[in-house]
Formats: sequence, C-alpha cells, structure tokens
Amino acid sequence: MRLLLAVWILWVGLFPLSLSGAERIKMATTTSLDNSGFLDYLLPKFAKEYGIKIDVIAVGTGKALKLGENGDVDLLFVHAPKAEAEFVRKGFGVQRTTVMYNYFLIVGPPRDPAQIKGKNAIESLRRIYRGQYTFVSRGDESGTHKKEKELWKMAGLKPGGSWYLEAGQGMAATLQIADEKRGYTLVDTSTFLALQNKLDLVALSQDKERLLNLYSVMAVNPKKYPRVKYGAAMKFIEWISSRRGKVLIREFTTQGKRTFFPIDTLHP
Amino acid sequence: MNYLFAGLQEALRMIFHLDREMLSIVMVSLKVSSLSILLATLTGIPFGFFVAIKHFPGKRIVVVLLHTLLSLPTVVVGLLLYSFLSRRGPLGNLGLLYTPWAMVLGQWVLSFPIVSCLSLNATQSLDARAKKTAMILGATHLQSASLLLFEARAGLAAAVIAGFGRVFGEIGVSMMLGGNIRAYTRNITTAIALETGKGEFALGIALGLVLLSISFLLNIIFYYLRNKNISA
Amino acid sequence: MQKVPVLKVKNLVKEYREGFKLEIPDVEFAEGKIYAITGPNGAGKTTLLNLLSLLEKPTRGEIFFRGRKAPASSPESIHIRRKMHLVMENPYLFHTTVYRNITAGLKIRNVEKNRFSKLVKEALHRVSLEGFEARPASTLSRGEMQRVVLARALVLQPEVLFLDEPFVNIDRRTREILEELIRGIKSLFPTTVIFTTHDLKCAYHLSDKVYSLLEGRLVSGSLENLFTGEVEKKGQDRFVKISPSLKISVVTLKEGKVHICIPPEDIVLSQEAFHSSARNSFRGIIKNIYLSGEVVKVSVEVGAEFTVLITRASYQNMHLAVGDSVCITFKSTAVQVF
Repeated sequence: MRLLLAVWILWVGLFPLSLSGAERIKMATTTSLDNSGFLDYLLPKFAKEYGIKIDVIAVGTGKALKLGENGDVDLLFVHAPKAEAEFVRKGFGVQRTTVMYNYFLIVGPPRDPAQIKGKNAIESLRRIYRGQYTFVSRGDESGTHKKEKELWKMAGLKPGGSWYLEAGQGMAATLQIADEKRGYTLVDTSTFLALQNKLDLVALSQDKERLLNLYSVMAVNPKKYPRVKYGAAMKFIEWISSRRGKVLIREFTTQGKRTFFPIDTLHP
Repeated sequence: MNYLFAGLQEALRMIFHLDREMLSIVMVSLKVSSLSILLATLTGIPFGFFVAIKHFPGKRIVVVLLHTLLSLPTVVVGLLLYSFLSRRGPLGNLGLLYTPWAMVLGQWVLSFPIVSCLSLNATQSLDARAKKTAMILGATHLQSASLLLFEARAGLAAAVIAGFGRVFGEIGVSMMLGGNIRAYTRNITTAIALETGKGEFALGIALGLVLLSISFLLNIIFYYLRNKNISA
Repeated sequence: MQKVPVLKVKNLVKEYREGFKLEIPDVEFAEGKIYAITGPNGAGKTTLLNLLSLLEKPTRGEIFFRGRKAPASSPESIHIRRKMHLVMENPYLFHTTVYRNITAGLKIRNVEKNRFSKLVKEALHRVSLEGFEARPASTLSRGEMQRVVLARALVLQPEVLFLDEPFVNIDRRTREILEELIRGIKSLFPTTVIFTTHDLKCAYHLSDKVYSLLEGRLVSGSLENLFTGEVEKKGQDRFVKISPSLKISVVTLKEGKVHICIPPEDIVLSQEAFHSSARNSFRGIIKNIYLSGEVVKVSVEVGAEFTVLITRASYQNMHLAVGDSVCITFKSTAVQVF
C-alpha cells in the first residue's frame, strides 16, 4: 500500500519534467484548418526545421481574434479579411500576411429539394430561403459564419425561423448537424473534403466569384502584450510565406485533391 | 448500425495496438488529473480535517460553502479561471492559459471541495474515543492528527477517488483552460467531444472505453482497500 | 519521612454539567499505592480521572505531579501526560492490528523500533494473549479487546495508571487477569494505580485506600455509612441526629442539613463496651456478615445500620455470628461532614 502510494507520487512528480522541453508558441486558428488535417501536416515540418512547437487552439475565427485581442495567443491563422483588417487597425495584430486561399461551397442533401445545384451562391440562398429548407449556420462568428452573413446580405435576405439552425459549433460539428438534419450549409473546401466520405452531403453551389476564402497569418502586437512570443511567431509567418511554405501548401492534399492554393497563384 | 460496429471494431484495434494518438491523449488525461488530484489531496485532506476537529467562529458557514461548491458547474470554474488567467486578467503574466498547468489548476479547484468535504465527513464520523485515545497515549497535536488520519484512511481514500472521478471525466475546465491542443492539452474528454464532432467515432469510442476502464479499475482498488479496512 | 506525593490536587473545581460541580479541595496520592474511588453512577468519577490524567481542564484549581504544577492541555505537560495512562471504561482500539495498537504509544514516545516486538510480546503475555500480534482489532471478543487495551497500557509502564470502572462488563477470565495484574503490578514496574468502581467489595479487596465521590465531593473511605441530618449544638459540642434514637458526635463548623460519613475501617467493633477517648459508642445487633478474602464486612443495627470492616483473624477470635450483641465505637474526628 505504502509502496504503491510512493510509486504513484513519484510518477506524478515526474510529470512537470516531461511537460517542459522545446519552445512553444500558441496559435489560434479556425476549426476548418484544424479539421482538414492541414495543420497536422504542416506544423511538425515547421517544428522540425525551427525547433518551435506550435500549440493549436482551434476555435472560430471570431473567437481566435478575441484570443489575440486578449494576448492569450502569439499567432493567428484565420480567414475573415474584414475582421482581420479591423483587428490590425485597432493595433492588436501586426504583419498580417495573406498566404493562401480556396473556396467555400454550399453543400446539401443529394436529393437537393431547393434545386440549387449549379446555381450561384446568391440564387442558391434565395431558393433555400423561399422554400424554407433547413439551413445550418455556424452561428459562432467564425470566418465561415461571417462569410455566410455577408452572402445573405448580398442576397438582401434576413434568415430566421425554424428552418434556420444556428449550431454555435465548429465546422465539423456543423456539417454533422446538417447531415443529420438533411439540411444545407456553407463550408470551406478543405473541411468538406476531409469529412466528405463520412457525410451524406454533396457540393451543390460552387461560386468562384463570391465564395473565395482567403487565409491570413499574423502576429499579436508585442507592443500591446510584451510577453507574447513575437520572434517565434514571426519565424512562422516568414516560413509559411516563403517559397518553401508555398510548396508545402500546394502539396497538401485531402482525399487526393489539392485543398489550398498559395497566394501567388490566385485564380489560376 | 454498421458504422457503429465498424467504429467499435476500429476502437478495439486502437486499444490493443496502443495507438499513438490515443496513448498521447490518455497520458495527458492521466498526467493532468493525477497532478491535480495530488494537489487536492495535499490541500483538501488537511483542510477538511482541520475544519472537522477545530471549533472556530464561522465554521458552519465554511461547511455549507464547501457543500455548495460540490455542485459547482465545471464551466463556471472554467470561466472564472479563464478570466483570471487570460493575459488581460490579473494572473495573465504567468502565461498559463492553454497549458496543462491551467488544466491542473482548474481541476484542482474542482476537486478541492469534494476532497475536503468528504475528508471532513470522514473525520467527523470517527469515534469520539479515537481522539481521546490518542491523547491518552500522549500524542502531541501533530501525532494525534496523524493517528486520526490513519484511522479515517478508508474515508479519505474514498474522498481522493471521488475527487479523481470528478476531474477525470470533466470537460468544461479542460476545454476552456486547456484549449484542446493536440499532444499537449488534448485529454480524453475534449478529444471525445472533438472527434465525435468530426464524425471520428472510432477514436471516441476507444477513448470512452479507456475512460470507463480506468474509472472501473479505481473503484475496484477502492473497494478492495475499504473491505481490507473494514476487516481490520 | 515526608515523601512528595506522585499526584496532588489543590482546590480543584470542575463545573461540567448544568448545575453540577466537582469540588476537590485537597487530596494526595502517594507513590506506589493503589487507590480505589467509589461512588454511584454520575458522581463524577470519570470526570475526576480525566482531570487527574490531564485530559480535561479544570474550571479552577491545580494538579501537581511530583510537586510540579501540571496544567492540562498545555504543551509542557505533555511529558507528564506521557508518564500517566488512562484505561477508559469503554476503551477504543484503532482499526488495525493488535500489534499496531499496542505500539502506538511507543511510537509516540519515539521508542526504538527494534524493541517493539519484544515489548509487545511481553505485554501480551501479561494479559494471556500470546500470539495475538497480527490479529485485526475488529475480530477480537470484548474480553480480548479489554485485555489488549491493558497490554497497550502496560507496555508504556506508566508511573500512574488510571482505570475507569475496569470491572464493568468483564468476563471471568479477564477479571482474574486484571485483579492479578493490579495486585502484582508493582513487581513489574513502580507505579501508582487509581481505579474507579462502584463495587465496594472490590475496592477494599484490591486497594490500599478507598475514596468515595458523592455529589461532586471526594470523601475518604467508602460511602457505606452515609447519613443525613441536622447539626445540633450543645455548648462546644456538635451532634448530628440521624435517626430518632441516634445522635452522632461530630467536629464541624457547618450548620443546618449535612451529610455525614464514617469510613468502615475507622469503626472499632467489640463485644463489650470499652472506655476510650472516642465520643461515639453504640450497642446493637449484628444483622449480616460478609466474608471476602482477608476482610470481613459486618453490618450492625444500632438505630441505624452501620458497616464495619474487621480482619478475618479478629473475626475468628471473636466468634461473631448474626444476632450477636456488639458495640461499635469511633471518634468524632473520624466522622466526615459535608
């Protein structure tokens, strides 16, 4: 009994040692980047080359920006250009660099009751609205949610009612809900590709003009929060926007398909 | 039904092949919860013991407060500590948010009321003659305390195990303070929530099974110890 | 030779229940003696033992251990407390083995561990529980448990051993062991024994001196000859009328209703009245004779019933029988008034 206790205490006592080690910085990012497996592919390569471990806190872009505002993270990797610009204007972020892009999709059940297949984004939303077909919104102020609100605005519509569900969760969970409810939702290509074979949803509206999805990295302003790890964050920003970073972005595939495109190849 | 069966099959494969991802998640859970329960044991038992044997003004309030804290929702603890640990908060300079240390702290806050409450009850339910016997034997206050703690050992073990049960299966604090960072603060419960959200049932099921087995094992140890003490 | 008493009490007062008070102006316990404290239930015997063994704080007054003031529950008196040991009426064993129960006191005193097993073996031998070391306390019978508690006391070799009602709820074998132990304890180690009992026979049988507790006061002797009456004055003399036909000469400053008590061992029993300085001499009839060991208890009716103790030898010399007419004689100073 005593021996057992002693061994246990020793074991617990050794934990702190195992938790220390390489330099680590915190990056707040969108659930879409995390869920797609992109970060699991990218970050170990960075860690290997620079010896800096990046801890990923995957939340919506809105929450990620909040974390940056509070100085709770060192680095941001997000996709809501307008909110990002505001963030930089307020002095919370520096070195904002747009590094890659892909597209959003409107996905829905294969039966497609609203008949949006092949329609542009605005027309699709109008049809869903008119028929009151179930639509699942992220509802979490994430980049995808911001994009969705922008689209409704462009369509001149104010969604609401029992058909419009606000999930308040990450991209993957929202897709699950849309799947279960046989509803439509807006999703980024990367997450959809990653989860496609677990879902009974298909891509219906692909609108390259209005559904562009831009990803940027930026560091939290060290003048606001002197304790943030600005140097290490900058190393990542430089690395991802370098030639090497771009090659890595281009080479990442999900289900055999390219998922992100480096920024110098916009509209290939 | 098929996907459930496939998930279970994959889960069992992960467990028996000690899948690396699963192991890392389980280890985070074990490390964080063990450390927090060690802290709760070192603080909660003396505190509960002290409140039980001492008479002081406001003792009743302390006891009622402790019992109230038993049902403290984990997310409230998470929220409270979050606002303290955020760089904007009073303890922001420590840079603890989204580290295992923040999780340890949160789980300590969660388990302290349970451990101290149950220790208090265990001490109070001791035979009054036990304390007198210690005095008769010539014990100093400290010696008397250690004799009584030994005498209450079954109850104290129950307190620690109940505390561990609370923190090991909680998610609010781990998610809010740990941030679910892979291989760093991603523990069993946050991983299950995350993996289910992604439709990854296999890992979720595997982790759920591990969670259950660890709880089961702990309770077996506990009943073994208790029965041993009852017969002693 | 004036020896310092091992325990001495001065003006001890303990108010411990609604309106109930224990008041002990002055009493000494001499080294190496065996004392019995008798008294009815609720008389305060347990409280007195708790006070003497420094477990409870008196409301007022002091206790001296070998001439040194020993305040209860103060850190300095812990060394004194460790020289005394109390066996409770309802003793408690820790939920562990017999061995660990017996060694608990040794551990507290930082006795070297390598002596433990020998000491425990000896102590268990004294209470006829050889080989009980590994037994869990919860598996013991009541008698075995009481003996383990005794062993736990013996192993510490206390300078003063308090036993609270040791003969209550006790089986025959344990009683024999206990009586033998109390009688022979001085051959094991020098000690003073103070025990409470409500069994007078046992008190006289085993002790060197008997005290009685009544209504919170300590009286020398047993309370067998306890009477109540009014103090009457006749010039310098004081009398207490305890029955229509019986007045007892006393020495007291008290007035009004009092209790008086005449210790049986202070009463002289004779067949013929004899002249002495004793003021009280009464003739009466023997009602009863109890034989127990070396002492014989005789009760005599003289207008009130008196208990007298004589030795077995004088009992045999006098050829006493129930119904005989005898004289009882005692000094007025032997009468305790309270």
